[in-house]
Formats: sequence, C-alpha cells, structure tokens
Amino acid sequence: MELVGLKPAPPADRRTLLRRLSFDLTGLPPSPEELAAFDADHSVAAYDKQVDRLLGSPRFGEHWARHWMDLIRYAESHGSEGDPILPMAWRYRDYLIRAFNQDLPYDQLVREHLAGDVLSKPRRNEVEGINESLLGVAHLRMIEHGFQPVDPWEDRVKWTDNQIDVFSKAFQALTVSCVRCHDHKFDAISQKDYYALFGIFAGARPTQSAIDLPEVLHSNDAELLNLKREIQAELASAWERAAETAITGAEEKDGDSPLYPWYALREKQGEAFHAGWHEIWARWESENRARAEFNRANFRKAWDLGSPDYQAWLKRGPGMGDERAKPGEFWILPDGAKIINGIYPAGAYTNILSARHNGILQSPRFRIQSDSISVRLLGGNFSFAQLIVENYAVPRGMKIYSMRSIPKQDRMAWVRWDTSFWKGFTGHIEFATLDDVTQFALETDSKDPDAKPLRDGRSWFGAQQVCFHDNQLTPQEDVAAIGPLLTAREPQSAADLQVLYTELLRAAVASWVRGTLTGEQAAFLDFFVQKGILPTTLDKLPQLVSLVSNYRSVENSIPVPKHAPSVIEEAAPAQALLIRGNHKNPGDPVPRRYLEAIDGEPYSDARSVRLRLAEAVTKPGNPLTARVMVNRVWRYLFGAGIVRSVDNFGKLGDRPSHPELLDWLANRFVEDDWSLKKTIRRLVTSQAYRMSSVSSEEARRTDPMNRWLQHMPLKRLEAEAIRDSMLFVSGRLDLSMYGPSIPIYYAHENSRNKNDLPKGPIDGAGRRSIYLELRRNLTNPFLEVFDAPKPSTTRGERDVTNVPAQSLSLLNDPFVIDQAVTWALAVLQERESSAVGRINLMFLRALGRAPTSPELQRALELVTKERTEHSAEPSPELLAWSDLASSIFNLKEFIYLR
Amino acid sequence: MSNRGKFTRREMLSRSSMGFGLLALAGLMDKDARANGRAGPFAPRPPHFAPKVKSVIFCYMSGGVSHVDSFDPKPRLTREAGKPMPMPVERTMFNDNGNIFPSPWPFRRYGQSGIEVSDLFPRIGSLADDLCVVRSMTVKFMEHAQGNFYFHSGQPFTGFPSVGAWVTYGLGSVSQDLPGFVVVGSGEVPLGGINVFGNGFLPNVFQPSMLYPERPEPLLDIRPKQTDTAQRNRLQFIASLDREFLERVDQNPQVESAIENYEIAYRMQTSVPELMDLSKETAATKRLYGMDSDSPGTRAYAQQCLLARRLIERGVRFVELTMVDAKGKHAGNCWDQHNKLKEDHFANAFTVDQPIAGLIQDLKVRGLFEQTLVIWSGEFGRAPFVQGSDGRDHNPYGFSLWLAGGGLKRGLAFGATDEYGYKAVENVVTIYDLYATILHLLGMDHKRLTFRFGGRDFRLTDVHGHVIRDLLA
Repeated sequence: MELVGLKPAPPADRRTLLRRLSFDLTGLPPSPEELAAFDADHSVAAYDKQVDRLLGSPRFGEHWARHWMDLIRYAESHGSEGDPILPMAWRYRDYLIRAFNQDLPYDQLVREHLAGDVLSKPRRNEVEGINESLLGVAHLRMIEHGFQPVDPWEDRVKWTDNQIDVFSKAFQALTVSCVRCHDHKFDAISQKDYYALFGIFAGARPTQSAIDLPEVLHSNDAELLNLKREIQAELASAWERAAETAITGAEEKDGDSPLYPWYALREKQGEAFHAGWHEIWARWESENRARAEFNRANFRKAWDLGSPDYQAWLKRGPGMGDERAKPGEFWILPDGAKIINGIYPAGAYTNILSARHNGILQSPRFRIQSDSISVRLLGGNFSFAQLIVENYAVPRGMKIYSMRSIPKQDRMAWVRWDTSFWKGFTGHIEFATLDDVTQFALETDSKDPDAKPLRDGRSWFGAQQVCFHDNQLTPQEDVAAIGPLLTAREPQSAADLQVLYTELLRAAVASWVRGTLTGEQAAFLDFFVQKGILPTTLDKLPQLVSLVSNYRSVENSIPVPKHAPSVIEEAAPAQALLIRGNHKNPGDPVPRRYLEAIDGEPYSDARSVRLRLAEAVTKPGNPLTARVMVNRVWRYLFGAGIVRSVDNFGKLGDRPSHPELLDWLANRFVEDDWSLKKTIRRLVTSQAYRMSSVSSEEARRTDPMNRWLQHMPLKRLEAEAIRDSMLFVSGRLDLSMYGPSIPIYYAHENSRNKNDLPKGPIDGAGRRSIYLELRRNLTNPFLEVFDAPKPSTTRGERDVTNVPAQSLSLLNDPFVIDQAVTWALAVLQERESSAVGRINLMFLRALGRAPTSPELQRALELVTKERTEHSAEPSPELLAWSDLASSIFNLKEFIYLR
Repeated sequence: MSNRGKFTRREMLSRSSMGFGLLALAGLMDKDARANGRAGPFAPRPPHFAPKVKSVIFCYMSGGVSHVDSFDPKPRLTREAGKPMPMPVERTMFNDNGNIFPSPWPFRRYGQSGIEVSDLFPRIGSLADDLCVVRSMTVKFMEHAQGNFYFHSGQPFTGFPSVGAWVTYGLGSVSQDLPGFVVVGSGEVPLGGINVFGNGFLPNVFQPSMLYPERPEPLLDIRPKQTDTAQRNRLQFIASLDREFLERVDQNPQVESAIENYEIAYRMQTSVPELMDLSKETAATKRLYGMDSDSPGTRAYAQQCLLARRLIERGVRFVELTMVDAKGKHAGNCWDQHNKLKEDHFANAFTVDQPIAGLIQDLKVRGLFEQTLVIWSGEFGRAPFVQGSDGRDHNPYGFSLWLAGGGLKRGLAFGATDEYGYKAVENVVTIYDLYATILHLLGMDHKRLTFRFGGRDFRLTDVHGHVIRDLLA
C-alpha cells in the first residue's frame, strides 16, 4: 500500500477494536465487562490476550462453522415438492462447530469431507463416543432432489453436478461444473476432468449411518454372547425334556407341517399306518419337486444372503457382522414373557445380540431388467427393505416408487415389488433398520395412522434371498420343516412315530447347541418353537428368569445409536463421458482421477477413489487448497478477499491484489499444520486489522474501492450476527450448544408444507441462529432479508444488500419487538434505577460505548415522549423503554461494524 | 453526474407527508455530494433498446391446465373417444393411462380471428382478438415442483432466479415505494415452495415481495405495531443518532442508503395499505373483474387481478398472480386434475375467467394494455388420454399458453400440436424462447442480460432461446 503512496489509517480505538474482533471471531458483541477489562488492561499483551480469549471461546466455532456452512450449502431438507427432511443433518453442524473449536487442521477437515467414511484411522471423539471423521461426508447428502422423477438418472446427474460444483468451488475455488457439457472456455479444465470427478462422487452411495465408536455399542458383546450361550443351554435342556411329550395332543391339518404325519397317522395301525406314511412321503416328495421346479421356472436367484453372496453386499452399522448367520441363530427378545420368537434360517440378521445393533445392508449395483423383484425377509419396528433406483434418496409414495416393504413378522416371508417401470435404470436393494433407512416414508406405508415406530433405538431385520422375475408371482416356500421327519427313517407304528419325533427334536436341539444345525433342522426346530410346543416363555421356564433378566438388563445398557447422513462407497465403475452433457448420451468411460492440470494420474482401486481425491487436494503441491482457504479467512476478517472472487480463482475470477502476501500466508498456513486459528491470529494481530475504518482523503481519491486496504472497511453484520446480537443484548441468548435444530417460526400456517415440523418459538428458544432449522422451502424471513444465502451452492461471498424490507423488519418484525420487550423488562429490573443510568447501560450493552450527552438527551426525550404516548396502555413504562430498546436495534451502528 | 438523482430523491422524500420525511431529508441535504446519482434499490435501469411494454402480469395456472380442454381444439379426440392412442405413450408418474379422452367442453370460434376456445373460458374467449395464443409450448419436466421451477427459472430446482427477478434485475422498478417484483399470494404457494419465485443467486433486492391480500399484514412486517406518533418518535431518535454515526463512518454510502431505506420503509407502510384499499375503485370496475361474484374463488381472484392493475399503475415491474380454488384459498396445485377433470377444471376456469377478462378490458380502457404484457400459462398441459376414469395426467410435450398486450400480434394462434394434442409438432416453443420473447418485449436482449455468479455469466435463457418473431406485431 505504501508503495502506491498511501498512508495507513491510524489504529482503531480500543473499544472499536474489541467490538470488531469479538464479532469477527465469535459473531457476538463484547459484554460491557469484557470491554471494561480490556480498557483496564494496560499490559503490552492486552490485545493478544483478547485474541486468545476469543479464539478459545466456544462461540468461535459456532461463528466459523456458519461460514463453512455457506460454502457447503448446508440444508436439512432436499427441497422440491414436500421438501423431505434429511434426518439428523444437525449432527454435521455440530461436527463443524467442534472441528473449528478444536482447530482441526484444515487438511484433515478436507480429508474428512471427502473420505471421512473410508479413513483407515478415523478421528475418535471420546466424549461423545462417536467416530468424528464419519460425519465429514454428510455434506455429500445436502443435495436437492426432484420430486419422484420419472427419470431418476437425470436427477442423479444433476445432484452429482451439485456435489462437483460445491467440491470444486469450496475447496479449490474452481468452476468445474461449467465443463459438464463442454471443455472450459477460460480455464484449463476439460470435460474429461469433469467425468473423472463424476465417477469419484458417483461411488458415494447415500445412506444414514450409526456414528458411534464401535466399542460404545459393542462393549457388552462378550458378556451378551456368554449369557446367550447360557440361555441357549438352559433352553436346550428344557427342550430336551419337552421333546418327550412334545407332540401329545397336537392337532395339525396343514400338509406342510411337521406335525401333519402325527395328526394323520396317530390312530392308524399296521398296513394302514405304512400306507399312510408312504402317501405322505410321496406327496411331500412330489410337492417339494414341484415347488422347486416352479421356483426354477419362474424366478432367477440373484443373491442368497445365507450363502457367501453375503460378502458382496455393502454393510454399515453395528448389527452387520462380517459373516452371514448360520442356521439356528435366534434373538432374545428385549422384554415380555417370551424369550425367543423362533430359530432363524441362514441369512443376514442385525439382531443377533441386540436390536439396538442397527444396520444397513445394500446389494451391489445392478441394472434393473426384470418386471419384478422378490425378497425374502423378516423384521420389526419399521425396518425397511427397498429398491433404490439411481441413488434417489428421498421418501416417495407414488405408485411407480412403491418398491419397498416394512416387515412385521418373525418368520421369513417373500414380498414382491413391481419394477417394470424401472427397467434399464441401475439400482440397488437395501435392507435397513429404522434410523438407517435411506428413504424413510412412513406415512405412505401405514394404513394404520397410529402405527408409529418405537423410538427406543431398536429395530431389526433378517434378509435371505433376492430373486428377479418377469411375472407377478412370488416364490413358493420349500417344504423344509417336515423334511427331517420324512427322511430320517420309516417309523413302524404311531408309538414309534412319537419316538421318532422325540429323537429328531433331541438331535436338532443337540445340533443347535453345537452350532451344526442344518437348514432343514432349523426349520423343523423353528416350527416347534413358533408353535410354543417347545416352551419359550418365562412362565414355563422359571429357571431362566434370572439369566434372561440379566441378559435384558445388559442389552438395555447398550446406548441408543446416534445416526447421521452418510455415504457408503460402492466402488462403482468409471463414469462414461456424457456427450454435450446429455444424460442419455454416454460416450467412453473416463478413468477416475483429479484435474489433469493438477494431477492427472488415474486411480486404480475403485474402493479408494475419494481417499485419493482427498490426497490430491491436501498434498502440499496443490496450488489452490491453502491459498483458497487463507483467502477466505482474509475475506471474513477484512471484508474482501485478496482475490476478491473468493469462489473463483480461475481466469474469470479477479486477480489477487497482493499475490506475494497470499502466497506467504498460504505457506505459513501449511507450515502451521493447517491451523486456522493460527492463521486468524496472524491476521487479527496485524497492524492492518487494527486500523481505524476512517479513510484518508487521499485514499478515497486514489483507491475508492480500498483495494490497498488503506483503512479497515466498514462491514455490515451478517444476518445471524444481527439476530444473535439482539438475543445477547436482550439477555435472552441461550448459549446451549448442539442438538436437534429449533423448528422455524412462521406466522401463517397455510404457507407451510404439509410435512413441516411443528412451528417453533418466535425467539428460536433464545438459541444462536446456527441452531435454527434450515429447510430449503421454509427459510427464516428475518435472516433471509439480511442476505442469509439460500442453500443451493457454495457462497463464499454473501450479498450485502440494502433494501427497505430490512428497515421494515427491524421496525416491525415481531421477533425484534419481542426482544425489545425482553430487554426493557431486564433493564427495568436492574439495580440501576435512574433513567440516565439505564440508558448508559443500554448503550454499553448494545453498542459497546456510553452515549454522548446529546444522545443521552435524545434517549431521555424518547422515553418521556413514548411514556406519554403509551399512557393509556397497561404498562407505559415498559413500552417506553422497549421503544428505546427497539430503536437501538434500529441504529445503523448496531448492524455496522467499524 | 447530473442532478437527476438528487431531484428524484428530494421529490421522493418530500412526497412523504409526514414530518419524519422532512426531518431526515434535512439530515441528508448536505450529503448530496456523495449521494448524487447513486441509485436507490428500486431505481429504474435503462433497457437495451426501446421496449414495447413496461411491465408484466403473469397469471400462473399452477397444477397444469388441460390445453385440449381450453385453447387447443382436437376433434379427433371426440371422434376416437375411448380408443387407444395410435402412437406410443410416454411414461408418466402415475403410469395409469387409458384411452383417448375427449374434451367435455365444446369449442367455439371467437371474433375476427376465429380462434377457437372452449366453453371453459367464455369471457377470455370473447377477447380472442386481443390474444396471442401459443399452441406449441413444451417443457422438459412432468412433475409439479420441477415444472414450477423450470417454468420460472429455466432450471428444475432452486438456486436460479425466476423470470420476475431477472426482469427486475434488468430494468429496476419505476415505483419508488413499492418493490419491483410482487407475487400476489393466496396462502399456499405452488409445489416447490416460495423459492419457485425466488431471486436465486441474484441479490435479494430482486426477490419477490409476497403480497397476501387476505392477511392482516399483507406484506411481511409492513404493519407498524404501534401508533404513528410512537413510531415517529422512534424514527426521529434513530435518524438523529444515525446522522452522527454517518459522520463517524465518513458518509459511508452503504450506511447512507440504509438510512434512506427507512424513508422508503416508512412510506411503504402507507403506500401498501393504500394499494390494498380497493374502496376507491368504482362499482363498475369491481363488477368488471367479478368482485361481486357469488363465487368466493372468483371474488378472490378478481381481487388479485385488480391489485395487479393497481401495482403496474404504480410502476411495479413484474406481478405474478397465484391460483385460488373455488373457495378462494389454498390452491398451490389447483389445476392438477388427475381425476374429476370435468368438475374441477370447470370450477377453476370459473374462478379465473371473468377476473382475467376483466383485467384485459380494464387495461384497455385505461390505456395500459399497450404497455403491459399479460401471460397466462400453467407449468405443463394435460394428456389427451384418460387417467383412471375421469382425469388427465401431466403432459409436458405440447400445451397452450397465451400472451396479450403491447408489441404483440392480436388474434393470433401460433404453433400446433399433433392431431391428438399430445406433442407439439409445429413451431415448437421452449421456455427459453418464451423468455427471450418476454425480455425482448421489455426492451432487453436475452443474450446480454447476464449476471456473473461463481465464475460464470448466467442468463435466464441459459445457452438457448430465440425471440419468437412471429408473435411480434
């Protein structure tokens, strides 16, 4: 600056400086006490101490996380018709607040944003008991979805474009999204670069995910397993005893039932018995053959999750083991008289130890080519099975989008989905427990309006087979349960048959305990368990009461899992270039890699493409990452970036005003282990930052845009800071951190979407603005009028508009009036009872300074006049003071930072 | 710099009859050196070339009006009623499509032009000689939310400015105490939410102001919550302290215009209620619009149409009217007759027919027709075949809209769909062509109306669009 002959502005006065620093670092004004302490501190390090204090304040993270949310287009819903919510999005917001408060190295923040789900050493949060790194990828889910598109591939191309747009702008200040249709007109970015990135993001399949550290949900596994063995042993011995008399008195007319031979033959003797037995055997044999033939003729088996096929599926969550379950698994029910509800066949189950072990199980991607898909499953408490087409991840209800089932049964059963509409698209099948479901659409499934999920963390499914077919049939069940009986030996009489039952039951129970149960044996045993012929309830098994209650209490100590939006890497194939950006016109596949101009080496392992991308962005040789971020920090502190177009370092962007300074800051940033706090400290302790905002005559003439930073620019507070300051000043500010968002306040019911959460309190429960719900279709008008951005893409630079609607809001908005009244009430309750004293306090609190004497006079006059004006109303004193309070909110000094 | 800005501003301030205006003016008088020539937030901007019209009234028929039942007669549908469509039928969301479904309404020829309009719209039909009917409109999306976004911004989702925001960005507003872009709301907004009208990446100076005639506070925060005296006391206090702050910040122009906004805001508190107050309209005018109708829907829509005229009279640049149902409320997706086409299309048409016809006649009588563009359209049309037993599914492949007003041919029917009204086949019009034409009428070249955002120069017409010269007079 001095090179161009400008003399820097003098230092700002202390109060102005602390106010500036406080807003810039925390988004809140300094309290009168903090100002007084700073005034009184004459040490050389006085200012540095304030910097440290504010950098160490939890409010710092809340303020800087909000900056980041602008870059990442943070939203808690998907927009379009119905504006479906993205459940638990707020956990990502909390993650950001923690990250900024802990000064997470920026390269790690980037790494977690791109590949937090696949890091070999994820960052652990011991206090919360969660995997922090996993939360980084949640932003990939913050996309807008069309409503029930008939072409979900087109929808997918659009939202993947949004992911690429946000990635490239936020981390690299490049406009890669421009090259969807053609090579970049201005920058060295090609269409191939775009589809190389597309392939990287396309592998990130949407899911919800439990974020708990493994040991949090698994710490009792060994104990539960031991108890479960003991329970199994006790059950086994009880069943062995019961096997003796199991079939006495049983009535069974169903031919598939293992009890049917007893029912049919118990009174037969001699030849009649033999003939009857052979008849049953022959019928079973032919029926079995016929059903197998029927199934073979009509269905193509896609996967059997009770076989090694299980390995090929994607799994997430504590309930998904590495291995499939063998026949004989069972679940100990968490409450009630019943201990177990059946003996499971081979398959995949989430609830082997606990229904709090949630999980998600997704098939490999496949091209849908059949008119129907049938799946065989069991489950409860709103676990889901569904076909997800082209990663379309929002709840749906219309006819063509109804490929899903909510199992409510203890036994495996087939369900069929009509997939004829979707032939030609790619998709995957998902089984998921309640909070893991990628597309939760309760209202469209529930015939019973009272059917609501139980929110105790428990939900479970078992999944077995998937088959493809072109008819409207479902596979016929094998006649498996009766098999062991008919294939063991031929009984000689009814009495012998009874013995045979006992033998077989005992053999099955013994195999069950040894873990060698066959599928048929499991079905045989399951039949007697489900029927209650073998005792399963505590009243019949008093010896199990203490074991089971012990198990249940340990199981119940497993915490309810915490969930967040996430992705799961599906290791997809490379994406074909879409000619002229037309989603229906694929060209050749483009190998996945970063931008050719930066690092064009293709990635060989499809499972680690996002990890490689994260490396490319965070490695020291990347020319953009550090520069882009220090430039953003500069922008937030000095009101304009060194490169003014903070989201675009390309040719269409602005040239840096001080290129060497930018380089130096970027280098120091990397040397400081990517510490944002150190960078911020470096900038706010500079002379430049501490200058006054008064410009010199000379500077106004030669550099009216203040490119050379002759003085500190005047900044208007951001929307959130305006609202938060009012809460602070009024005393209403509730500094509680984290947690679900506060529902938005709206004045008129009929402007809502029908799916909206209940209306929130007018003052947002006093919480900072970052904790307010952020729905795409229901924005906060007060924040919006002060330029809070719409969550559609990266906004490193907010507009600062000047519209009468802002004046109207500050004059008439019920929130402002509410805060003015709250503040006036507090002022009237202060020990200070003189009008002059009160006004002094109010100015100090709101503006960080005492009023001048003319100001004091005018304030006194205002209170007097308003008291008279309100004299006919119930509390003129309160109204008069709240008029002063709201007037102070309306001062330009309140919203402009010098 | 000329003195024009100064005088405009002075005029503007002194027009305010309240003491506050004068007081603040006194405070601003000596700051003229800096303020001179600086444009207020709503200041008009010059067009690219001489415009044909100054303002736009967009009657948006959300939900999708059936063109084959309104402005696109297809006798073959009657002749082949109940037969299968002789061409392949595209996939639809409900996928419950049956055979050819003839229109329940007869069509008749109107006026000199002989344009055929169905009995759904007898009053608009009688003005056929004033209309420029486009029978070959197409869009790319067949769901409502995407369709609503697409029809407003040329993109199927949020983040992009609507046509109203673009127009206001391009031309500003003549009105100094009303916003440049007003959406008259009925309560429920079209599917996709309020952002359908939104300013997207344009600064929020160009965002729509939602005006709700039925609410006690028709515009957000427009109603002072205290007496005028109490408010003026506060404003005086604010103005005097702001004046000193302005000194301390070196007459910062941003702060100065924020101060100035209080003037405008204060005046809006009276100009908006004055705008909403229809009591000075003559009984004849009100009758013309249908404000005396027995139908609450017609009355509510008549109020919107009358407000639209009052808004453009006051210099508002772009007015969009939203649908109301026959009861006069809650109608975000009013025309969406997947079933009961006959009953509900009739009710909707009855709701808007007289008010819109009244609006056109009133504009003509007042000499405003020549300087106004009226647009009538839904986000898509409806299929010529039946859905279920008595409805029609969405049809984006060809449908009708009409334009009327200055710079346009009159009594023209342009373009055509196939003989079944399924797909546009002649002079196919895209949304970008429509925008290019609208901008052209307003004096703007759609290729030059750009806004740089995130490193790219964006246009309302993206990289597409041709002015439809055949529509121009």
